[in-house]
Amino acid sequence: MTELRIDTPHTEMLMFPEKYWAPEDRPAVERIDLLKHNADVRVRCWDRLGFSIVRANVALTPPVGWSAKVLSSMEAKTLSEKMGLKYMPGTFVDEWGRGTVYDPRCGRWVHQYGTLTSIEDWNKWAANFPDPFAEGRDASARITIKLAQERGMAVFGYIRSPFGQLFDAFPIKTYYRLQLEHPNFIRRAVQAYTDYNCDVIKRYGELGCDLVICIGDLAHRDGPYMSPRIFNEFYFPEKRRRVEAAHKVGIKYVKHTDGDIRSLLNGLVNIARVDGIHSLDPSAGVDIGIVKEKYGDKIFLMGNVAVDSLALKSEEEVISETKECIKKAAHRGGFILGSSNSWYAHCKLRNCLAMVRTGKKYGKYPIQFS
Amino acid sequence: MKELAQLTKAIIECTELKKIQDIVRDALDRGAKPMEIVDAVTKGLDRVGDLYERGEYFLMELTIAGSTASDIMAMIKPVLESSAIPVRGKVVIGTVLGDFHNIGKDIVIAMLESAGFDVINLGVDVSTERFLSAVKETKPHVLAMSGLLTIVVDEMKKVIDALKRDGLRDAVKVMIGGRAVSYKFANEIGADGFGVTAVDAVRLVKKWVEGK
Repeated sequence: MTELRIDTPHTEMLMFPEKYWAPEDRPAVERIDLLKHNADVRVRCWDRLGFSIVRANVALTPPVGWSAKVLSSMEAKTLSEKMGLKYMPGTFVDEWGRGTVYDPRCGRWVHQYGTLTSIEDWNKWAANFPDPFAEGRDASARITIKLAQERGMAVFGYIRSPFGQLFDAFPIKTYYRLQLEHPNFIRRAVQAYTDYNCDVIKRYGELGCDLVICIGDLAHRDGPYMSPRIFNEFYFPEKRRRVEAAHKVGIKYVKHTDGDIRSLLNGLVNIARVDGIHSLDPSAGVDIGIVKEKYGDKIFLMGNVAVDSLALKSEEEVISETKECIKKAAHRGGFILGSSNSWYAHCKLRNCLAMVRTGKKYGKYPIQFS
Repeated sequence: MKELAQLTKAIIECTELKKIQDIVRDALDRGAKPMEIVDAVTKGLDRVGDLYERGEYFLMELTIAGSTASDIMAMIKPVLESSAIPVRGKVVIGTVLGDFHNIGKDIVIAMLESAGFDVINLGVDVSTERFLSAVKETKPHVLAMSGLLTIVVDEMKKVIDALKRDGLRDAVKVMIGGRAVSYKFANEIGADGFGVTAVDAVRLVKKWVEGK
């Protein structure tokens, strides 16, 4: 059992009176110490919940040499006029060109807008492509992995997919135009992000991670963001390169994506050859039982108690949904229970805990529902 | 005029923006009326919407068609203004408080604008007070609220309750949309409708404003 993430209000509630920080806008020296503190709190929190796997992050953790510059109103206005994009005061542009805004309810920084507007912009940005081995990037991950291993927990490392990176770095209409009109640029960019991710995956292997989870949604409620043909041609062959990099260092590769991915499953399994798929978003019509029947001999599944249920339904309904999930997906092994994404701040904590209790009660092999 | 047919076809096929702009310029040079351009664009968008709903097109094509239509509208705006074509209706739209998602909302905006509606975009993370003051100030036909996160459903209800409290509920149609909501929820909170997709949302607005 595990989650992709537990939002700060839940972590602080579970670990009261300890604090969990969102230090991405702080100067490097302070930020790295706070991230190390978070790693400690997170491992103990997830262990206390009975999770078997905990999250570490090398890929998206900024190194010592990087500091956020939070925009003032005047700077946001000047940049907006210069770039023709909406820069907002109180945001910062992260290492990856994403405008990032603090969400007080969830207690974390979230990506809000892309700041690159052309191939030239991307080329300028990529001239100093983030260094996977930069000092400080793996500082909090090392703590996480050490603490997790002391507790006998497995560790998954984060990476973000090239599709997700491009989708975030550009305004959506610009990105789609580039995909359609400049396919060679897209190929080059996807390769560059993949090279970075392969290096990070190697580092995860060296540090002792057990699996890597590639975040970045490929679909929304009604279907994929683009035709499966485009994913199969441009993105999944490079994903296979990342899968192979993971296998080379002895770790499994999981693709996370929300949305209705039914038309992408074949490409993920047979072109990218991922080891597992996370989310299997029931609110978008994905039935974990059907995926198990069709692909269960090739991949393992992670999910899929609906986040919407955790937010809106009763404990009884969540218990029933969790049991149903175990019934459908756990037989013959290859199943990790969790929500269909994360424990967002708006999920009811009592529902999340009901899911955990149900998992502990019914999730032991041999699976029995007597 | 062959340019108008070309324009519709180019929008359906997501042709390169520069080429589409050339077609519009050619059409205007040959004396096409602004409203004929708008109609050609709308025809193209309607077809893209059909293809999306049939699963042959994806969000990419819908977004490109919507943004192309917006660019064309911006291009012909000076001519449109001088020809005094009446707007079809006014829509206030925003993503509700606590939610920063804008993709779905922005597609709806592009499609509404290109269909001739005056759209007042309040952006993301919009408070009940901002929705309310926009309704009071601009007197729209439709108030559209978008939300992806389940947390936002309470915010949508708050806006509708505030409209009732201030005696404005009957003055405006309320549409909700986004991953977090459903027909059932729209009924529960007293919204007038739920736009399942961007295409559906535009259809609903047209129906309300023009009775089509």
